[in-house]
Amino acid sequence: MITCILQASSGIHVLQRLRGIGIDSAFVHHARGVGESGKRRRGASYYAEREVVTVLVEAHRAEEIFEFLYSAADIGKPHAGMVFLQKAAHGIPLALPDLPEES
Amino acid sequence: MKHDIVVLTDATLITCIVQRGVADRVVTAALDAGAQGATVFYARGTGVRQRHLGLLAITVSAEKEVIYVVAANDQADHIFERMYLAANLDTPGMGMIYMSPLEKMATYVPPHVVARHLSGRDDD
Repeated sequence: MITCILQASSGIHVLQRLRGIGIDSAFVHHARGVGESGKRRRGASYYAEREVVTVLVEAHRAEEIFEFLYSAADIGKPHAGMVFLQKAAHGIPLALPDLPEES
Repeated sequence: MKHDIVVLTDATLITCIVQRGVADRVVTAALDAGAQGATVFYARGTGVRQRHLGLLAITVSAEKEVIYVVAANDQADHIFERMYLAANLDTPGMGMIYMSPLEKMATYVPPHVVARHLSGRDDD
């Protein structure tokens, strides 16, 4: 299972690019993020809008998709987010039937 | 074009689920304990015994906040304890917290930190 925390509004594009390389088992949701560098005044933190993409892939594609997400979300730039990989004990691969493309 | 990915291992994901409105306090505790950042999102959660907790089941809100904190393994236990205390998780119905090991993670690491680490490794 790969989780990518990235800048707001880019999650859906990452999902579309994942679909292009055959990954359908992914979802995105909104979040807010704060870093150590975020200024805190009177105990209140400044949060930035974020999105979280979670992808379940078979183990043999994990490295490839990890690197793909790193690149697609520009993780190598400051304040871009992070990507991390966890082992899933069990999972069921999602295989979509042949469906017409949505416009 | 060649891209080098700085991959970090020995990292732990701390996930904390609390009632809505509590997350800011827990995040502040995590940052004070040494966490480099936190991610918070909303969720909805109920439990089978929830109606027996709180005042007429009203004080335990089904609206939750989920907090992700990624920490180095050697800091994780300390941050975990601070978050547990800040969220009052010893009280029934307040939520839960758990840690899961990460295989690896990647984020922006300043070049001078990478260079310092590599030079330190060459010296060994």
